[in-house]
Amino acid sequence: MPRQFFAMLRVELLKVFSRFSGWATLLMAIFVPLVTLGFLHLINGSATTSTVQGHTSMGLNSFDLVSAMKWCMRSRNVLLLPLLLTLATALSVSGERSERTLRELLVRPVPRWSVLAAKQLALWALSATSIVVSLATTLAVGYWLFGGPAMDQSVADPDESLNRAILGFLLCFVSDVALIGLATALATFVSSVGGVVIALAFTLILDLFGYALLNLLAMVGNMSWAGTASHYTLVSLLTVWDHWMDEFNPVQFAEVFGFIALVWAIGIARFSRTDVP
Amino acid sequence: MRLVTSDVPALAVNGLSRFYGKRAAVRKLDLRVQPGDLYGFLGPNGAGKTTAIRAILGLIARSKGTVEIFGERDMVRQRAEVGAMVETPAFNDWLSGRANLTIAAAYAGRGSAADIDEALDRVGLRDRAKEKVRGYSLGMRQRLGIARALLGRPKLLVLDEPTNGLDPRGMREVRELLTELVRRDGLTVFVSSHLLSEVEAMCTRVGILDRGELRAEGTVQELVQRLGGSTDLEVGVSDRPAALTVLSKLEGVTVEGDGEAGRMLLKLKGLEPAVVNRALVLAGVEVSSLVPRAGTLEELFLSVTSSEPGVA
Repeated sequence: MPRQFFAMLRVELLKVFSRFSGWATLLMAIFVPLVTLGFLHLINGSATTSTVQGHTSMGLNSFDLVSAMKWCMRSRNVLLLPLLLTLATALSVSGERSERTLRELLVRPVPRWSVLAAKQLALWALSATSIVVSLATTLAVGYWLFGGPAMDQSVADPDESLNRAILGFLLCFVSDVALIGLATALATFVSSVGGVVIALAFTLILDLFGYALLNLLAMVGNMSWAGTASHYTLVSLLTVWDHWMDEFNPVQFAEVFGFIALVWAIGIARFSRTDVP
Repeated sequence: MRLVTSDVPALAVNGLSRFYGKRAAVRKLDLRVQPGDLYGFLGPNGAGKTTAIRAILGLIARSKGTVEIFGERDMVRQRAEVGAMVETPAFNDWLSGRANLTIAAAYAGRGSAADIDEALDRVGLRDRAKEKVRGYSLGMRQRLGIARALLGRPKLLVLDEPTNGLDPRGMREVRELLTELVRRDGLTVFVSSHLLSEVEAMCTRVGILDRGELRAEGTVQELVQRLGGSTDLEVGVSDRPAALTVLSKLEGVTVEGDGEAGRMLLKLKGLEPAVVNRALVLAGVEVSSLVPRAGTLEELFLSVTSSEPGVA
């Protein structure tokens, strides 16, 4: 590691947090939980209808702090924040290459992998900050709107239920790191920012189709291998935070870290050989 | 391993080639830039100058060949001694000029706040350093690019067309700055340009690249003598037809046409101007003026770069 690595990281943080994508990510980290909690508060106590095996039953929407947190987490991870993190990653790698500012970094006495590492760590910091901001907003506003945690069916202790929700929130970071890694690897192949975002969207859509197909084969065709294979799709890997809420699955975490290592290796190998205009 | 001796060239390029498919953008380039040189790297547009510089700096892969900077072969370590500006400098436009230099200093691993101030002073941008770069003119960006290249006190400065976008005053300032860096600070400067007058005015040595190949290398005087071998002479005479008759009998003289102020323009090959003068006077032709004109870098450049590849 070059001795100036921390100085490099410091200036990459400056760039990541001062770009439009950086401060938009932080704004959305506040805005998304606020909108979600407001919506949940609005429908809290309203009637619901569900049909199970031909029997229709009536019920009431009922949210407490923990269930509201789960919804906030889902809304955070579904669209806006991943999109903004992808954009931040694309701007940091492809954007700098097409704007030619990357060239100015690579004429300095540092190995290429360290440039990519400094950029990655700065993006991880953006993700971590957005998660902490979202969590703080969710806890503060959620507590105000819904009160403290209620008794969970699967967890007897309300505090433990809350702890799991907080942990699940923090584990969004793992999904974000995987997403940033994937976007970085794509950015070493695609030279435009828009191209990276589109390529990632296509990759995820294709993956989603694959996931659905594999599950269909597992259910209809009774093919067990398809069920196993579906665990290795991006959709399954990137929703590691969701599964934590139900039960701890170390295998899935190992798979996510394996995926992160793989995209890292591809990204660095490609970045080391890329011609920079 | 770094060898620090006075004999070690500041920049040694050995057989550098870069191919795009089968097309050679740079072919078997050999260069030697000695410490203290202000080396002009000349070539017409598309000659391969920028490709060569990018390959030297490791921005693009080298198909063949090696580069040594002060004897250092390791690509990362050799860049510790180099400050570079390739083509039009690029900046993070939403940040200030100073912030952009701070980024460069962080990656260079050296360059304190005082060094940044000094670099800004040198290019006359200290007063505007807090402004965002997006508000800078092309000339200011060019000067900021030079300031960035100077950060960390490099021993070798590699500049690609550093006066692009500058007005005549700015071009002159850059020329003076580079000359001062070489004379006062002992830097070695490798500067590419297609502006012959600029290179002629400041460079101690030049290399001329055409179609990816180095066609000539040396001092301007050496090259003009070696490649041209002829001298232009303007002669003012009282009787032009008589003068033409005399000159037609002299070997090594070609009448090229009209010079300035009604003088005849002659090209001499292996003949001194005094011989021409004596012949005219002895034949009774009155000579009112005799103005020798040395070969120029422009003539050399045109003669070298107009030839087919591999001929020169």
